[in-house]
Amino acid sequence: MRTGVARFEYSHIINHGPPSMLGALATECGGDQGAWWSFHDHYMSQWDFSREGAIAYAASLSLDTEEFTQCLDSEQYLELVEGQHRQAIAVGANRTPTVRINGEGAAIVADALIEQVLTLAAELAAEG
Amino acid sequence: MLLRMGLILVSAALLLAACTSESDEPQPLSAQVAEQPQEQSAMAQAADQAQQAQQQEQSATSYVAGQSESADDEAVTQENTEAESSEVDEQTVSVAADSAQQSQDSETDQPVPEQAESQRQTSQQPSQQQTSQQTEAVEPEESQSEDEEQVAAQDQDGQEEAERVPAQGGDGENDAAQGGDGENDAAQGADGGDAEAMVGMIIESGHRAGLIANRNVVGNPDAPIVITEYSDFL
Repeated sequence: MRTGVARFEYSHIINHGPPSMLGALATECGGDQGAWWSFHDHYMSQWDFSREGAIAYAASLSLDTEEFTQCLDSEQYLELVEGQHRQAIAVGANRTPTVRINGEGAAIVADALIEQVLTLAAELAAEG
Repeated sequence: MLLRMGLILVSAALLLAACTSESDEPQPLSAQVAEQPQEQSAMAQAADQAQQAQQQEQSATSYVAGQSESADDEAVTQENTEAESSEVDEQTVSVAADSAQQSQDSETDQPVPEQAESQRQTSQQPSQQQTSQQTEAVEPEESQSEDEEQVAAQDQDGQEEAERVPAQGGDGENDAAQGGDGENDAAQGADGGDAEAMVGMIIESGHRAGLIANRNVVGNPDAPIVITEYSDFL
């Protein structure tokens, strides 16, 4: 990714109901203020998926809590999150995490992902 | 009176007949004479069987000693002596029938030296067997000496093995060197630790430092390879 050959995208899957949805909506609302990956890493490291917990974390990042609270309460990114979830189900991402490269191939994980990325990078380097 | 005389004559005839029947009794003497050779032949057969048993034992011991040829020769001589002894028995029977003591002595004197010779042979055979046993006893000594040499060689091998053990100790040093590999493993572990530390630094430094991060995308937006993760925070 540092060489510009690959990029990484994250797509929401809502497998655990309201807590999963609240984490996804809070992350998208934090993205409005440039804290998308901060919320991503926050929810990956702890499991407080309450409304108050999300607002407190936004406050800890010195974000605009009123704007964040309004985005969260209005479910501004509900349609986006549901759309990603439907797309993930459509491509067969039934388990989490599921990784796909260029939208093709079966779901792969970890080492196989790295090998496949390196193979594609080598092919691209050979093509010049 | 005539009747009495007739009865007397009849009784006398009966007595004569009985006497004649008693006079036949000496005939069994010839039968006895004929039976005596049978008994003597039975005795000779028993003696032959005993000699055959001795021959078998001797042949067995000779085969055990590995002297099969000499044992066969000895068996042949013993068979000859048996034939001679059977002839001697027959001659003794005939001598008994002739009742001529001189001729008996002359005839019986001849087999006696032969028997003595056979006895000498048989007495020599144990000596041969003893010598063969001695040779066998010598051979085990040689084999023992060979075994001792083998044992010594094994001892030498043991010493070599004992000398090899320190060499294996050198292998142990190699093992220690492999312990160095373990240190390398530790270094690799340190590398792993470094990787984890690097990941931690990346996370603490605002994630993907130096990378373009826009919402759910990290890296060059025009990159040809797109890695998509479908995941849930829970």
